[in-house]
Amino acid sequence: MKYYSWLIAILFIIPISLFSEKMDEDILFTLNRLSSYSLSPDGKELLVQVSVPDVAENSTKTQLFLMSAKGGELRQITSEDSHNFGATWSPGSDKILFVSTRSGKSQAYVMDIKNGGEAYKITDMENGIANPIWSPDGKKILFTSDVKLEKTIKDNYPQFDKINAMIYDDLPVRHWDHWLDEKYSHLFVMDLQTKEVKDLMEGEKYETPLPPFGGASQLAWSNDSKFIAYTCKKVENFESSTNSSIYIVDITTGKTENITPDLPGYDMDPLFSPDGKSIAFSSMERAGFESDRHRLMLYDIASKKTKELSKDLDQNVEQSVWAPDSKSLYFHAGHNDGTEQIYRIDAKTGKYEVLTEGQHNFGDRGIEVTPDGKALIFNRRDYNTPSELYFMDLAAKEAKQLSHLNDDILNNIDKVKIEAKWFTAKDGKKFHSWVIYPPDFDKAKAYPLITYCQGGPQQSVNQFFSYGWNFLTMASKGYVIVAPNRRGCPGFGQDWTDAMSKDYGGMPMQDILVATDEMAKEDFIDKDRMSAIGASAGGYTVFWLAGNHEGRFSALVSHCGMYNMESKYGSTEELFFPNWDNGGPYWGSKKLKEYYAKVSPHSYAQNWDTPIMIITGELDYRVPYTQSLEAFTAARAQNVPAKLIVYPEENHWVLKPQEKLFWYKEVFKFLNQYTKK
Amino acid sequence: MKNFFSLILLALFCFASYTSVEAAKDFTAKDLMSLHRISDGQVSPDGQWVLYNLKTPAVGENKFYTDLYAVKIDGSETMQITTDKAADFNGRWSPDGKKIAFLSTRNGAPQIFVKDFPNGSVKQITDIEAGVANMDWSPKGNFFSFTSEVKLDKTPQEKYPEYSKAKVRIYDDLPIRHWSVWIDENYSHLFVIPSNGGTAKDLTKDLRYDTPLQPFDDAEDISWSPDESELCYTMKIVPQFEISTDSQLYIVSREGGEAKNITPNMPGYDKVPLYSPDGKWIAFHSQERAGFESDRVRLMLYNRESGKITELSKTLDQWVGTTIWSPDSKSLYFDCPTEGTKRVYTMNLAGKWKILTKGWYNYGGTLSITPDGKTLVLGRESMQEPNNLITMPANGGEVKQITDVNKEMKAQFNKVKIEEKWFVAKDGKKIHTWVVYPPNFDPNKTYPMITYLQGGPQSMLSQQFHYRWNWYLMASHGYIINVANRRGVPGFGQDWNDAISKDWGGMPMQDYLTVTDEMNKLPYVDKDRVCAIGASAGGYAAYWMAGNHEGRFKALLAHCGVFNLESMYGATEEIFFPNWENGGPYWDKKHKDFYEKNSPHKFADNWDTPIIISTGEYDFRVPYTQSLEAFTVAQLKGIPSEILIYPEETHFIAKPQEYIIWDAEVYKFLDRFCK
Repeated sequence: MKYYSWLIAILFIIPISLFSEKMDEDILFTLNRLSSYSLSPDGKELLVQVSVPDVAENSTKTQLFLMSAKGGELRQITSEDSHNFGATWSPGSDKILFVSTRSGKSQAYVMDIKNGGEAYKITDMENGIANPIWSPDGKKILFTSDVKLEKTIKDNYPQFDKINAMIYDDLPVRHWDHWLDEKYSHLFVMDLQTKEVKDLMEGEKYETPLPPFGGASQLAWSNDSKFIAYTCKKVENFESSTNSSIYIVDITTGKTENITPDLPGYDMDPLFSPDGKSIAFSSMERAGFESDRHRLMLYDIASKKTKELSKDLDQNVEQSVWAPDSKSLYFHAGHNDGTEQIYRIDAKTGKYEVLTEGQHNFGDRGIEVTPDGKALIFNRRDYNTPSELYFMDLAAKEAKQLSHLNDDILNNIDKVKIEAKWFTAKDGKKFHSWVIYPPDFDKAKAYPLITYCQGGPQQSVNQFFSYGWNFLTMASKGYVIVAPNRRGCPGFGQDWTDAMSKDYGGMPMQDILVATDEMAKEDFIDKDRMSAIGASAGGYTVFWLAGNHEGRFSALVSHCGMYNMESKYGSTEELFFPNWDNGGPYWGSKKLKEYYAKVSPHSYAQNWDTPIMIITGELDYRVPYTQSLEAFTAARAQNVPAKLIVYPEENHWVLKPQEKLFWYKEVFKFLNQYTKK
Repeated sequence: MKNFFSLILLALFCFASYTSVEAAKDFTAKDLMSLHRISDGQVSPDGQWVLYNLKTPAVGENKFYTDLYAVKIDGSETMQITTDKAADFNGRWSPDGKKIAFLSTRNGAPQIFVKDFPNGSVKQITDIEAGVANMDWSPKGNFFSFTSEVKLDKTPQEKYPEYSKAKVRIYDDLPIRHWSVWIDENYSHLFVIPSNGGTAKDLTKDLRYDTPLQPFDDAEDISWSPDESELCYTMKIVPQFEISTDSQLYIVSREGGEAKNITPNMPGYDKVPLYSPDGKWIAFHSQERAGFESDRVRLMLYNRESGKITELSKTLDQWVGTTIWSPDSKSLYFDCPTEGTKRVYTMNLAGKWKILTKGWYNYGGTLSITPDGKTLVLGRESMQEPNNLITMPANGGEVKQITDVNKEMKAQFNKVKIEEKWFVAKDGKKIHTWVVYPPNFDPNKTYPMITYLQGGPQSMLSQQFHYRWNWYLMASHGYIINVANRRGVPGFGQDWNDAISKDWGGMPMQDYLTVTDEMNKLPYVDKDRVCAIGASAGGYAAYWMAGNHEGRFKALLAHCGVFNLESMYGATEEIFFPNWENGGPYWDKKHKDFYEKNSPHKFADNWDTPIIISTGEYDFRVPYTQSLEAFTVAQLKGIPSEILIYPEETHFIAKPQEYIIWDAEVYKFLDRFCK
């Protein structure tokens, strides 16, 4: 049956493909990227944020659009010459609040969309603002802004005003892509009438939202507009702890209460229920483990009791929203099949049901509920298609496409076949892998194989349409791609997620090899033309394979990979991560020393013999670029063909359009050289 | 009289900043950063003048000014040759003595300019986009030689013109960096241009190699034959640049064409060629062993007629430094680190040598001779006297100081006492050590002590007036400083010099502990207030101490130190260095044991001592992540620790404000635990 539908699909595609072309990175970088959306309180309009790379300018600009909640044309409401983002609705659905860089620094602007007219600036904070949200009573806004709480080196040495230096006497000194400075991101409230601005965390050397990835979802207004709930990690050793908490602050008195004092893991994303009785939030149970199961918690405001709602669901609950009647919540979560699906959970019983189906990710950029509670609006994407907006009537449970951001381009692009495969691991466990085939796949031919090694390491290989590792683009170059959800990848239960920690060089690597070997058995795979690629923990995987793959691969690509677990420990920033995943620092016990020696790729450098491409960004402080230099030295000092790309202004990711296009060209030049005839 | 004059000067010009000139005060980092630095002395063809370079820091602007001066050879008169705000340097006399050529940045990139001497206008000779370096006037005056960067490869942006805004570097081979620069598409080539201007000719056209050797060598790597027909230059033409020290000397016609390698079978560094004035010889420096950058520097003679090479310095178990010929071509002069001071030697063509200088001074740097061969002009400095020029009879004897570029310093600052000591090492060998005492030292009191840990690791601790690791300044902070020439440093014979390689954590570290323990026995040393400080390989020593000092030190300082020998191997640039010092890479089974025993990070378990760490983000020799690794250990063990990171500094802290703040933070930290 499945096979039959595949045939139909082929028959259907053939006539079109006479005029169609294959996806490549240049086309990829013309696509409109749906980044967020929000439904007006009256349910009529969608405020949509779309970003598009400007290759010539080498930047990506984000603009705001309006679209009827019923679908139709997008109407652009902000202009091209600045970034405009972080938009939210006024309670009356007549205005929008957003962040714009039009005056230089990021400030909050209001646009009256009922009556029209220019957007006007409402904040003038010295260090700019972020995450503005309108209060439910419409009288105030909250936002976050950096506050300088410590002296700079120039403050301490005013006579030496040309000095360029940083001084620290504590960890952390860096975080992802910046050196820590004397500023802290605080929660502010502003009265729209008096323009009075108040720092609700005055003097506190802590930050909300959690840097650097936290956003507006970590902040929430109470329904009566008297309180704000925010996420903050108020701990002594920031770098060694994941113990963030939910705080409720009374905006009048400033009185602040931690409502999750006894929960030692990450607690985030508070959400007041529409009836005002409870706060839902996300929580990880185990201290220090950033990839513990994301549980959905309910805090009862009256009794101050917290319970877990998602006990029966062995998945990460993500981006929850309340139903208007406060009786249930919607969220997306993994589904034991390499996809993200939308769930509804009963707020009393914790009973859940899955609302969507198919080989797509649903709602992984957010879920909006219509005011009547009868329908959801969310995104859908998969390896063939970037995010588009969908509407689902909850009675009919049928998702209907609302937006068509890229039809004009993608209608002429060959789609690729995507297949889910389950392989049997060395220990008999079954694991899921996605296999992506080239557009005009002919199983009578033999293709080069790319084994994609996932980063994180605790990240799911699901139906993302990534602009970094775009499987459609990669497969369209004539490769078959296998992307295993090796152990450690979420979406298949927490036991599977847990199985990477403290076993880096063990079973997870064997899973990668099993998936590769199984694919190599296929007649359509040329087992002499196989490569392995990956970033971060995937880059670790590639470096580990470099010393242990026993002739399987003809080429390797490692982006910002961990090469030497000891030097990485000493030069990274969030130490709770290696503390959990490795069991501790590389010193302290014989057991730890042995673990590091066993799992560190640099312990196997003497076996390196495979051409390798290594890519890094100088602003990557997570996996410092010297890791890549160490690996390049191991390759070249042993005369292994190697290529090194260093981006002086990129971090753990390649974000600028030209830099990323260059990346695609060079990576495939390299792979083609060693794995294509 | 002289003092009186300088006092008036001070009163007149420096009243605001020196209000209490009568009472001498302790020397400070700010004072160090206001001294004039003299270099590159050149005797005029008539033997009457000495041209020199003077570099002056401007702390407020956080930069240096550089100008040329000339002093009468008897010191009786000084004139400023250049006054432009831009840097003017590399001054060279025309052979007829009527002109001075120099490089200047007054119009952007450095170019050659010529000025009539003593007076006259300035004329620009070159206009080369990439700028000019290492200029020299040909012996008959008809040409200039110089080097300039030539772009031979496409940049990534040129390969992808549609991505011209992409910031990216791409490599398929080592090295990718060198000290403080990323390797790029440019190579430093040798050029010749007529001295009245015209078209410059690239004599090393199309070569993807540099002359002089990067980044520290200069014009000394290039030499004109006396008849101007050819040049000899230094270049390292090897397939694997980063694992070889095999530089060679090449002879090329002034007109260009095929160059001839005259040192083909010599596998170490060969450099610094010097044609003898009679044209018969090329003297040069050579190291025997391949891959060892700290092998004995030998003085060699190349016979231009026979092509034969002989070593002249066979009987001298020391490193030959800056070298010149006598005008009669019968002997050479050179400076040479010897038993704790840098001395000037003369050596005849039979290899017989004699030391010409004496006393606790470093001589040399500037080494120039009058045309009559009778008088040497030398640089001279000591631990508490910055460099000045002196004259000395060419056969030794009385010296005469001819410049006094930091006159005001004498009256102003408290001097310190310096002593030379020899300690007995654990294996019975003797360790030479300088000891520097604080100002107004009183043997009845007790003082905190600094054990100074030398970098290199193969460089001698001598009577140097250093602008970063200045022992006079350290002592003026109130510490007794022991400055031990532990094994591994030159100046005490090559055996001593060789004794650190493959034994980093062994006897050299024991030497430091011996010297510290012996000093601790002295009544005026407070053994409970001792710290150890060092940079680079000295920073390695500080990290090694952190895990092995057994309670001796109360605080440590590591600047750009090597913490993890494995990650250091992978992230540094000249790999011949760890290959020699460690025996080879960490992944080779033969060497695993060395890394295990000698890498400071293997002793992290023992760390308990307060430590201050400093580093520069442009240090590619010892990448700054080494310092982060060390700071992480200290912090996680709850040890009081501080890290200073300089985003724009290299392996060295060069800028005045950066240095002054480094000094302030370092002594704030050391004082906290040792005072």
